[in-house]
Order: sequence, then structure tokens, then C-alpha cells
Amino acid sequence: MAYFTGEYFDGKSSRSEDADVQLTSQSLLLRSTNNSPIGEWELDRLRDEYSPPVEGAILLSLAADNSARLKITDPDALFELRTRCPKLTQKRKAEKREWPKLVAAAAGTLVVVAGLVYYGMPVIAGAVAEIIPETTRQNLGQAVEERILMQVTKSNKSKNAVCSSVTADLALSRVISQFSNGEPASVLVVKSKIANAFALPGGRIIIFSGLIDKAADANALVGVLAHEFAHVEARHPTSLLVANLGMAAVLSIVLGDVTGGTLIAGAGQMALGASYSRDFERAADQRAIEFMRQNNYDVGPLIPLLKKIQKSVPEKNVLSFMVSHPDIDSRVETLKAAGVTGTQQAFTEREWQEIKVMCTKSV
Amino acid sequence: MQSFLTCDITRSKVLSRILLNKVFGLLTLGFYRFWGKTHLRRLIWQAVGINGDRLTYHGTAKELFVGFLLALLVMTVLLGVVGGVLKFATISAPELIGIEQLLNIVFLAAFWQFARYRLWRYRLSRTSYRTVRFFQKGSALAYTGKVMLWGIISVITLGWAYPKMRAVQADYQLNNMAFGNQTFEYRGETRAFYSIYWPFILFLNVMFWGGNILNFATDIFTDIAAVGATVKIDSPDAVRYFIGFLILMFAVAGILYVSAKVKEFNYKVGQTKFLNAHFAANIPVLNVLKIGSLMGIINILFLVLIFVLAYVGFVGGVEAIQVYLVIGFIAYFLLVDAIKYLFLFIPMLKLACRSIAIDNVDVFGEVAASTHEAPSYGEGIADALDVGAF
Repeated sequence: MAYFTGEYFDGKSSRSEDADVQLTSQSLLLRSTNNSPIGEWELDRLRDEYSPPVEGAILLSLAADNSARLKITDPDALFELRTRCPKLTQKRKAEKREWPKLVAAAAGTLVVVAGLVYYGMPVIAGAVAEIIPETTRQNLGQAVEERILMQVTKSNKSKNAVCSSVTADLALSRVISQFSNGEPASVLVVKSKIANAFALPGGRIIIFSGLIDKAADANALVGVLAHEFAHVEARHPTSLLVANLGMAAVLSIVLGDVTGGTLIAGAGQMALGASYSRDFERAADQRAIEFMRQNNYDVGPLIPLLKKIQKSVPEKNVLSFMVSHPDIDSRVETLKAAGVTGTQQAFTEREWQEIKVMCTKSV
Repeated sequence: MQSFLTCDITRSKVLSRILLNKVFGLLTLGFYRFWGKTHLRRLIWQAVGINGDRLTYHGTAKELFVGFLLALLVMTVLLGVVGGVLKFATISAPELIGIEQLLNIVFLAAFWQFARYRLWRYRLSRTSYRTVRFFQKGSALAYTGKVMLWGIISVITLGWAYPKMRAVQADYQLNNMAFGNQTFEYRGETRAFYSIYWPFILFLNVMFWGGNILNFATDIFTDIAAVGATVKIDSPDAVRYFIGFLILMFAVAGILYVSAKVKEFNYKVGQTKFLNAHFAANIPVLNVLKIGSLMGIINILFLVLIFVLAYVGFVGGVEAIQVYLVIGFIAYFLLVDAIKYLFLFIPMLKLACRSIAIDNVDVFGEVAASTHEAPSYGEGIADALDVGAF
């Protein structure tokens, strides 16, 4: 049994009164100085509201929904209370179990947000890509093209990376116009050892000369052109750009910007973006087969070209989910399933020779 | 008048809490931040005492988390769609860049004002003194409207309406601040804000008009831009002087701005009343400038260190650069907040506690709790997105 005094707050105002406190084996008995009883506070329900604890004072509370407090500063009393109140510094258990609800809410929100990002974003991006006027897409494509050219020029250490030859350029435009039915599209061949090709917003297609070097048959290159034009037709490049920007914004919110989340957001965006574009690639392959069939060109020669490219890129690894093209085997399957789609050659022998050498000549 | 605020914050505790928050934040992909922030706030709140009684922070990580979930839904739509489209439009149509960027800035500025008001509302409602809670009443939307109106006028008038905007802000915010069932009263005048801010605004205007007239008369900036873009500069001294002049002007503008802010704070406190008690604040501008310069120097040293690391990496080749940059990034990530707290926030808090006085401290001991409803979740758009949050 110990006696001491404390400062009692009833929780209804900031006024306080002195209280006489009696410490029994089970509880604190609180009385006001005129001896009227205030209450009995059980020791194992008491918590110190100072968290982390402070030196020289304890602010006792009895329950979460009770804002009455008892402030103790008497050193002996502090020692007694700290040794005898078992849960003084513990967190109070919530009266109701709120965590399941909270976890459900979190899961629900994340599912909605993820759903919006994963399914909504391509739809929105597609819609935005449709709305965006032609001139805007032209500008955008031009900006991206300039950047690519600048990089290639730098790595080539040459003044001009663009390969040009009258015959070759005419032949390439002719083939593209067969696919495009009048929609504006242009092809640019760029000198680079890399075997690659892409479609940019505004109907621009860039072919790296490495790809032409690897193509044994003219129709392999035509297959590539058909594939890239399929992207152009469906406005995939623009959709992808819009989707990437939107996703970057959402992911950086989820992860919190100051916590280094931006880096993780970048990686996440790459993975998600790659998965969108995988869908785009599949769609482009299908459409390319149609183009080839319509013009009586065989898509078959594209198969050895793909296999050659596969040999020159590293094997599948842990990060393969980030690789944006579907794996080559499944693409080859799709192309094989299409069978022989035509009998004609798109380029004349002379044109194909010109295309083969256009980069060695002009640069 | 007597000083009545105390601040016995322990730097080592704050430092270890921040580092802990960072490490757990990394391990949980950032989701620990709600818990970390709550721990840190408790530490800071209860370090501040009024007349010997400590403030208590009642917010919980759960509230912040729920607020975050709500914010996430709103922001997914707002930023993911609107922001994405705006950004896209900005890079794709260069001729519209000005208008779109302006819209974007106006939208973000309005959003930031709104979020800040809700942040004050949440924080104050989770702060108690002698068991009684504080509140921020009023409407965040009304506040945002007022600030945006005067903010836009300020931009148009090259800053000459800025003091008016600050006066409007102070009037709305302080007159809606309450402790228990009693509201603070603020009676500041716009005139006073003009007398505080005119040197800063005048300086900016002189720089702006001076630069324009100089350029009009001599085409000097056009020449400098042309020279910078095409030819090698013959006299590096001229460039050095020019950069030196710019740094000097920035420093002068910074000093004028900081001293105006400090004077504004002192003025606002001096015009505030609670029941029959008056306040006074006398934060010396020089002390704030000292704290600010120290913080600036430490940050510069830190950046220099990172540059040195990057340079050492550069000498060592590409892979070494990557390694050193990663090290630099992690160090920066771990320490930048710690530096901000230890060298800026805590010294400023202590200085403020020392410099604010009251003529009747007993008023705080006689206030009934309010029935005003507090927000039930973390008003997290601001909190969740770390908008000026601590």
C-alpha cells in the first residue's frame, strides 16, 4: 500500500485537480482532495500515454474511449508504477477486431487500382491514342525519331546515320503503301549493327541495317515491314507511350515518392509496359500475316530471320518478363501456322541488292 | 509577457527513428511510412510543452493508411488519367506547351493548397493538450479558392498582390483554429504584410525589369544564349562574373525572402489572441539565417561528396560509376531527411519555442473540450503523398 498525489484530468476540459492516489495490489484508488471518490483504476489496464516514455512523468489512461488522465511526477510513485503495471508501455488492443476490415479495404483498393492500371490503362491509352490528332502524333514521332538518330549517330561516330538510295527508298515506300492504303507512313533505314526495327507515333518506321544484313530473303524484310506497319495502323506506339506515362504516375503514388519508390516504380512500369507491348506484338504478328496474304507475299522467310536474331540475343533469363516481344518460339509457331501466304517477291532483284548495300554506299 | 513553450527534443532519438523508418521503408517497399511517420510525430509532439504540460499526438498509422487508400483511389483517376494525358499532350504538341504547363501548374498548386489545409485539419485534431484537442475548422475548398484567386493575381502583378494573398491565408487559417471549444482570434492587416514583403518584391521587380530593359537595349541575353549554343566563349572571365552575379542575386533574394517570412511569422503570432491572452513572437532573423546557411553548407558538402564519388567512379570506368552512384544514392536517401531534421527542423523548433511569449498562460488551463467532429481518417492525400509532411 502506497500513497501519493497526482494531477487528475476528467477529459472534459483542460482543467485539472489534485488527486490523492492510493496504490493497492490490484488498482489505483483515486480521490479528490476533499475526499470524494473519483474512481478505481485497475493496474493491468493502465497505459502510459507518453510514447516513447519520458523521464520524470507518466500520463496514465484507463481505456481507449476514456479521455481522463492522471499525471504522476512523484519519483517514488513513478518507480512503483513502472514496476507494478505490467502493460504500462504496451499498445492497447483494439476493442473491435479492425484488421480484417482494414486488410480487406487495402486489398480491395489495390485490386481496383491494379485493375485500372492493368486493364483500364490500355483502354484509356488506346482511346487517347485515337483522339490525339494526326499532327500531334507526327510531332511526337518526329521528336522520338530525332532522338534515336542522334544516339545512333553518336555510337557510329559518323555525321549521318540515315542510309539512303533512290531505288531502295522508292522500293520501301512502295511496299509500305501497299499495306497502308493511303495512310501516311514512312520508312527510314539507319546504319547500325543491331538487328532491330520499330514503329514510332505518326506512322514512322525505323529499320536498323543490322536487320537487313541478317535477312537472307527479301520477303523477310517485307514481313518485318508488315509487322511494324501493323503497329502503326493500330497506333500501338502512341498507346504505349500514354500507358507508360500513366502507369509511372500511379506507381509512384502507391510506393511513396520519398521512399526510394521511384526506382521500384520504374522497374514495375517497365514490367507492366513490357506486358502490354507483348500483347501488341502478338496482335501485330497476326495482322502482318493478313497483310502478306492480301499482297500474295510469303511470310515464311521471316522465320529464319527471327531464329537468327534469337541466336544473337542472350538466352532467356530471370528478367525475361521484362522483354517486350513474346518469346521467339511462340512467334515462329504463329508464323508456321499461317502456312505459305503468297508466291510473289515484293522487291525486284535489283531493288533488293540496292537495299542490301544502301548503308555501305551512303555512309 | 512570458515565454511558455518548452522543447526538450532528443536529437539522437530523432536520428535513430528516422534511420529506422528509412530501413523499414526500404524493406517494405515504402509501406512502413505510415507507422514510421506516426512514431516520429509522437516523439516530436510530446517534446513540446506548454507551461510544463506536454502535447500529445493521437494519430495512428491505421488512420494514415486508410487515408492513403482513399487518396490512392482519387489520385489514380486524377493523376493516372488527367496527369498522364496532360503530360503526354505537353511533350507531343510543343506549340501548346505553355498553356498545358500552365494548366498543370494551376491544377497542382490548387491541389497542394487543398491537401495542406486538410493536413493541418488532421494534425490539429490529433493533437491534445491537457486532454483537450485542437481543431482546424473551415473548408479546405474555400481556403483553396481564396489562395488560388490571390495567387493568380500575384503572378499577373509580378508579386505585388502576394502580401494580400498571405494576409488572406493567415486570416482564414488562424481564425478557424480552435483549442477545445474556443477559437483563436486573429486581427492582422494587409498593410502590415506589405510593409514586410515590399523589399523582396521590389528586388524581384528590379531584377525582372532591369534584365528586360538591359536586354531590350543591348540584346545581351540573346547574345549570351547564342554564344552559349554555337561558339566557344573567348573570355571565360565574363562567364565567371556572370555566374557569380547570378549566385549573388539569388543569395540576396533568399535572404530577403527568409527575413520576410520570419517577420511575417512574428507579426501573425503578435496579432493572435486566445480568450483574453495575447501572444508575441520575436524570432531573430539573423538566427534563422544562421540555421539556414548551416543547413545549406551541409547539403552542399553532401552533394560535393556525391560528385566526388561519381568522379572517382568515372575515373574507374563505367561499372565503377554505377557502383559509386548506387552508394551515393543510398547514402543520400538515408541521410537527407536526418540532415533536414537535425540541422533545420529541430533548431527552428527550439528557436520558435524560445521566442514565443504569452501574457496569460493560464487561459489554456480553463478550456472545455469541443464537440466538434474530428476527421475519422488520416486526411491522407497530403500525408500519403508526403506533401510537406513530417
